[in-house]
Amino acid sequence: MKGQAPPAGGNGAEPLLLLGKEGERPFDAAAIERELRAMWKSAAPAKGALYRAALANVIVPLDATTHEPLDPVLSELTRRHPSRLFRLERELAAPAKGVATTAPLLARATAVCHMRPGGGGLVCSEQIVLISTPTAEPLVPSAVASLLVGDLPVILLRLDGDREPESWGALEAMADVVLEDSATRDDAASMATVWNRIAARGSSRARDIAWTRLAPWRELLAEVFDQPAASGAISGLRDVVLHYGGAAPPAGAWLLAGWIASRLGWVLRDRHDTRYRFDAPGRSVTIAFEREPDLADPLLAAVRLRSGKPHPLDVVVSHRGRAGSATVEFVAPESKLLERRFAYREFAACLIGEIHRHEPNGALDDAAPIAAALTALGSTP
Amino acid sequence: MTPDAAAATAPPREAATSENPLREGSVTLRAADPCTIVVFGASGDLTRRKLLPALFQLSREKLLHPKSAIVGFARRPLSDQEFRDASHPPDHDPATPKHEWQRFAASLYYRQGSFERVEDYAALRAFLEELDRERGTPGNRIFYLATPPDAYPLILEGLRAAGMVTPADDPLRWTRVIIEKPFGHDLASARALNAQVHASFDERQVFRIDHYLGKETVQNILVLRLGNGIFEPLWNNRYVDHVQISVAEAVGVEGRANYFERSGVLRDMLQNHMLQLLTLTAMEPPARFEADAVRDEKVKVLRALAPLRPDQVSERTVRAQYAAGAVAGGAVPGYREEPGVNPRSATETFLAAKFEVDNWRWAGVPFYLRSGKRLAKRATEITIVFRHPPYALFRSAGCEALEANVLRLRIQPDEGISLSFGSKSPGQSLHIDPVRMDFNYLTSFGADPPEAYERLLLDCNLGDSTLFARRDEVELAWEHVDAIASAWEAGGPEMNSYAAGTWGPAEADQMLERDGRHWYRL
Repeated sequence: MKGQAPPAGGNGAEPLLLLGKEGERPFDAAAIERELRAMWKSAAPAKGALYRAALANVIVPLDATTHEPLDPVLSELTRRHPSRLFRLERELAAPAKGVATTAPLLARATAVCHMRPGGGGLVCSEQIVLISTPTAEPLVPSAVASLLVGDLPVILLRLDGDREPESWGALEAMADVVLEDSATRDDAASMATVWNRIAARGSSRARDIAWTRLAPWRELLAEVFDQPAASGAISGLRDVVLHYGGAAPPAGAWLLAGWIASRLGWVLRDRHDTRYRFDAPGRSVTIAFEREPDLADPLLAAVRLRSGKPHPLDVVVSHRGRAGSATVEFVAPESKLLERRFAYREFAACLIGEIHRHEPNGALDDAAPIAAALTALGSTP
Repeated sequence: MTPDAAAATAPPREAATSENPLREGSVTLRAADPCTIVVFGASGDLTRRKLLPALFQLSREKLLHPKSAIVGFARRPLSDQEFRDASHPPDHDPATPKHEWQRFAASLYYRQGSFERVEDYAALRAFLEELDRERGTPGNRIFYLATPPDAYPLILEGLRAAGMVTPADDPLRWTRVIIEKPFGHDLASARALNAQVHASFDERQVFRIDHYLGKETVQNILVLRLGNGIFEPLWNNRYVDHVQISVAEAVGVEGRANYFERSGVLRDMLQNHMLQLLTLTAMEPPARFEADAVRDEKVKVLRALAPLRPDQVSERTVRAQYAAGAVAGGAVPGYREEPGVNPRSATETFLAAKFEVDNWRWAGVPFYLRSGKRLAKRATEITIVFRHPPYALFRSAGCEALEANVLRLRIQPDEGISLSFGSKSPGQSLHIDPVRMDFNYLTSFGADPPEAYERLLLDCNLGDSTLFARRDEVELAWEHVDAIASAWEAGGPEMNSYAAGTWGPAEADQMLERDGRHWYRL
């Protein structure tokens, strides 16, 4: 086994990659287990305190577009939640020298180690890389199944569901939790497949990171109605406008619309131009999506809420990019501008938060089907 | 203390130490008597893959007496040197000094012979006696029957007729026989084979091998239970909800179609490995850690195991055959398409069964057993699922469905033990999440456990039969298997199917779901 010296100083966030044998070889489950065993046997005395740790099996299908951006995310994931990590790569790397190019499924076993907080040794996650040619893709789920650590939960991190081979649907069946990010989907119909899956499997077994990102938005919107002057307006809310950047409403906008409707008991009736009409107790209400031409990033930018008499309300909650604060601008019942903390979380933090969540998420269970139903009425308002 | 009193209270020394007092207190105290090990079926797969590597390892560790010899006996014509060359382990560690292998190889011999011909046994006897003179061995013999089972009667009769079996109470030399599984095909054939064995050998000389019992992790079942103060008080129907025993194989029939077609997983796995694991899990503490005391307790479990009545077999067993699929990254054919398998075969490659142990300790605790070929991975595990606390204290805080505490004994691979329990997750609210404590042999001891055959061959050489099956144990196990086999032959339950690479048929899941339980993933 080859290793590097632990990174000096710092907070230990930089990973130390311990390599098994050089390069990838034709897949053989027993050989990989042997290789990992040999790796731990040889590593322990040389490296001092070294802990092999695993709290979960994490399966991550990757392709050329998700490969590099995800590297730091997966490193952070193994630092905060040591796991046996399966990287499923599709023709990302050329076979190593000496590997028969006819081998349809190649593999490599490594370990990713991090300094323990405060020093005192390394905590290591096993990482198994499977590289498949198109002909071998149907074999990948069985290769993964043969190497899962049995008594640990299986988490499928699926960020490329649109482009995954159909045969990898078997990975979903072996997963306890499927984590997807509808924000990475290309269009609303594709986003809706994620939400329909949540509706079918339940939020205890299927999650959407786009929903996790909405947590500060939901917190701020709820806070609006904590204001004494606005508290009566919630039952009279008649108009919601979601402003977004990019070419089409992002996943977060659809989900937020679904959340507002489900929390307030609105029943979707139809779509009229850019407005989606709902039946609420004693009135009709609308949710509209409005594009902000100046904003290129496909993100939710602002939410405007309006209600009529006897509790008039007109308020706009705005947030940009990764800013740590948002503005809450009241036009009615009285004019005022507030600045509020916006607990923006990076992708890795959202991911780990969901991995640590064990209880069902009732709000997501309710919101996801409505978001999917909205897109079914027309995805480009 | 007088010298006489001291001698009277001193523990008996093992045979090797009496021959060489300098061994006493050394790490090789368990080194055994010099003997000649005769392997019948020496050109077979078991000898090459398991027995000779195990004997070589014992030799390297100086646990095999340097005067000992190994004699291969089979039909194939081979010279001593050809046998030595063929015995070189394929995954021989290149770091092993060459002289170690050479020293071991020098103790290997080969005799060609037929299992049927009396004169070949006479010639073998003459050769062994010559070897005794040459190597200075006292005439101790281990006869290892590593042949197909239909050769057992021939070999046993050949040994008897050639006068190669010494009485069990011979003070000068000993003879032992190791018999591989399967020990019979059903209760009647097992009884017949036992009768034939006992025509020549005393039970003390018979070592019926089940290599599972040689695994460190299997031996550790008793250590975990009885060598610790915390587990045994919980090991009963007051605290245990149910037990699962799973023996999963990723391989198919691997060239053994002829044998497997006749045995199926019922005879190949349940009769031996699985019931052995069950007895070790369920047995009472023995009075002493000695062969008969341990085996007496195992037999009591088999007696307490409620035999399945014909009307219960459909409800409490599931049988299935694998269909084509993918296992461990490779496409595989269905069982009926395997070479050597009857295309209309009715042999099961998977079984699941529910047993109950009718005794004070285990009344009401189901033992679910499953085993199959071409499952998702190779894994053997005993899973002890504990009852929920008697009162759901945290229900008011929204913690409704707490996960059960689960103790998992991983027999192979990734040998170890884990215990899961609920813990409050950090935060202001009360959430209880499952967490796991894990013991792993490799990382705890920094070494792989020894191969099962090493331990068992050494134990036989030492005359310790604790880890071998006794006559009554084998016959009782067959009684349970026969009850299922005859009900299956009478028609039920139907043969189900499962895709290779899965965890078996849906019917196996449904069997547990009917009891409000589920299989734990391996």
